[in-house]
Amino acid sequence: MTERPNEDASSPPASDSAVSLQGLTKRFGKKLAVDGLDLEVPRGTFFGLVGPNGAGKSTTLKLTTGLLRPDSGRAIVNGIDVWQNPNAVKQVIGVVPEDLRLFERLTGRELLHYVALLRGMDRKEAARRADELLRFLDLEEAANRLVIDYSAGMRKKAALGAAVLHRPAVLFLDEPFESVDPLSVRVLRELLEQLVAGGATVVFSSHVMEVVERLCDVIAVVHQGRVVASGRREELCNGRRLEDVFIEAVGARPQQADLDWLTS
Amino acid sequence: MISIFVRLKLRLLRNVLRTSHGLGVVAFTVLALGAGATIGLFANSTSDTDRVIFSPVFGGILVITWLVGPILFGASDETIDTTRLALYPLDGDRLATGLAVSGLIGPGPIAAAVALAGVASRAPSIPSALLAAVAIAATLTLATVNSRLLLTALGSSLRKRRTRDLATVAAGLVVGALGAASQILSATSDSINRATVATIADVVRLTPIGWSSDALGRASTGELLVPILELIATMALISLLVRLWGRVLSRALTEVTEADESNEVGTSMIRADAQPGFDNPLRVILRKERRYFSRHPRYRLQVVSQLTVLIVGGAPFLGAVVQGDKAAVLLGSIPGLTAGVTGSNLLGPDGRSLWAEVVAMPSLTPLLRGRSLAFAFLGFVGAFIITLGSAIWTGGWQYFLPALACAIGMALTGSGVGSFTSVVAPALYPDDGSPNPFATSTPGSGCFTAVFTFTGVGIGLVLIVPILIGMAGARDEAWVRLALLPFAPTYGFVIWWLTTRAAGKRANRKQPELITQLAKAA
Repeated sequence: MTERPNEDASSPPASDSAVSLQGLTKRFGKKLAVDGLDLEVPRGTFFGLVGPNGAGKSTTLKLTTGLLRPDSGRAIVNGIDVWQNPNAVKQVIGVVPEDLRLFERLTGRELLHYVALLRGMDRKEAARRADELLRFLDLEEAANRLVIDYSAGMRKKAALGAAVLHRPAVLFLDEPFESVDPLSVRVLRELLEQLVAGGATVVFSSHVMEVVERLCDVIAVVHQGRVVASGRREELCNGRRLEDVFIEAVGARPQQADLDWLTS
Repeated sequence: MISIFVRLKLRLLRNVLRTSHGLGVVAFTVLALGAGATIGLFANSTSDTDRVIFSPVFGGILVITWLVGPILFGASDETIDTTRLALYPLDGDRLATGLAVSGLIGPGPIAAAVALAGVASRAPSIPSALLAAVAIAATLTLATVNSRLLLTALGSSLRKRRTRDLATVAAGLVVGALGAASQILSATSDSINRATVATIADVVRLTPIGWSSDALGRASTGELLVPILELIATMALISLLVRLWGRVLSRALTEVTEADESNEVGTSMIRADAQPGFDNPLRVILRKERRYFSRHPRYRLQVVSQLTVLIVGGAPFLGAVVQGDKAAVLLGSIPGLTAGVTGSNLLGPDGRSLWAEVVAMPSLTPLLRGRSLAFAFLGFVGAFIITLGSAIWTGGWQYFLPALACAIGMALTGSGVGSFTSVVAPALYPDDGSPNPFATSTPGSGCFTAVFTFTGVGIGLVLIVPILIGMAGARDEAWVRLALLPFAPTYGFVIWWLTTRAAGKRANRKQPELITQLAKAA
């Protein structure tokens, strides 16, 4: 693959940030899910968004990818304001949401083929890319089975294939490695590494510290809807494990009373 | 882009035929096409004047049914689930246009087209026939676009349980009103008055929902100018609606991905009563039903709506009552059977909590028995009210107690069969944040459930034949009326016991499949 990531020709000159979030806020009823979040994702990096359950990671990704409208604040992806021009943003991004919303009554091959057509590719190119991706993702044998019959790992791979078909400039993944076996993780990781090597930016959320520590160049820790720590991995960790940095950033749980009855 | 949506829809439908729901889709399609062909043949056999009357009335009914049917009865075609398109750069107009055209493919629209083709086939010339064909397409497009626009616009409200309950009550009222109207009409006149229908047609053809179908009727008689004008107006209206739908859709797709806290779908039905190791699960379920009724607005609304259907809509004897036939009191028991329809999806509304029920209870049989008894009770109450009312009206008190006995038998039979249907074809109340609150990720599941529900009703009707025979005898014979008192409840109880036992056994055997089916995120 020598082509450049899919960029919007009409977009303004690229800044250093692939993603820029400014004061992003989202409230659900009384709960403040994202609280004036600011974040810069450097272009061409592997960016990890970590945080405890309910920290606002998934909501932030939805607000950034045009899937959920913020109450206030701005999200700029690849120089384009997401909420001013959501379709222009969707042309240059790929998304693998946590709740993989796939057409489950299509086969793996059909899914990739139709996604490519919906993204405006011609049929020949759609078929070529679908076949290549199925081969790369090790889904060739299952290509003619319905997606609903796929395992969790296969579904993640199919969703990732659908998200990278158009060679996005920025790829967003929400918990991409959850319920995925090590073999599939490896395939997913290889694909993501190829994408970043080609100049794209990958942003993913996870609460699995080991994966984030191994993959990401830049990391942000989100807690209670805000970024509480961020930076290049080496600077952020400074010789420590990411898990320790994370616990320090979100505040360690106070020592609980012993459950004597469990040990007696 | 339109061709992509059409191909996608065809591919999804084709793939559904490869699954367990395929048979349901085929059966539903055959039924729908049969109904469409029957109406089409009738329309084809009418005179020019009658077709001009029939066409706008039928077209108007079609558009209104498409519009309110999904809201009132909780089902719509969402083969192409729009939430699955939210990730792609499709502007609202393109999305709405593609969905509108692909929405014309499916058992419902095709059956409707077949029915309307009966009118078109009488067109005297090729231009008239072409015009008629365009009119059919316009009528169906208007119906689907109207319906989807309304569902998308009301999406966030309809996902709230309270609004859905109100819709259920409205459904009860609509069914009830239609049932009562048809019964009283058939009792008070020999046939539906043609002049009345002509008056209705005159009104409908002046409204937007009647323009295209009126064009169809007129085109079938050879008229050209008026139909062309009506179709131009309809096209303009459709174009406006599609644009509006596109805007609403774009907005809805970015607002609905978070669960509504007020929606209680998925809350365990026995949460407050569940205790590990409780010894009488049936008692717990019944207590829970009672508690729901006293405290839970949702349950009260459900009860009220079902009673409305049972009392007013399920009264095939109103005509006899109006005519003062004392034996009509006996027929007052028949609404009891409708417990089988209302109770044919016992696991669906709270389906996502099924795993909790399974953990809390040693077997699903008591759960099914408790719920089906509650529905049988509802059926009986409905029958009691109508039986009492008709006895007061006609003075046929000698039939009152036998009618109550029959009502118990029918309610038990109906709810027993309903419990089995609940296990064979459970339908999850969709609650996945889609703009269409009735969307499912399983195209064809609605057809599947409908076929099984209708089959269940058919089986229920066959099973109550002994009671019906008794009722026929009870009209003239006092001893038969006496014999019915122990026979009907006992017979109903035996059927209920056997069917709920079979349903429970199947549910216990198929627990993993049921949980997967009902707890699956759409």
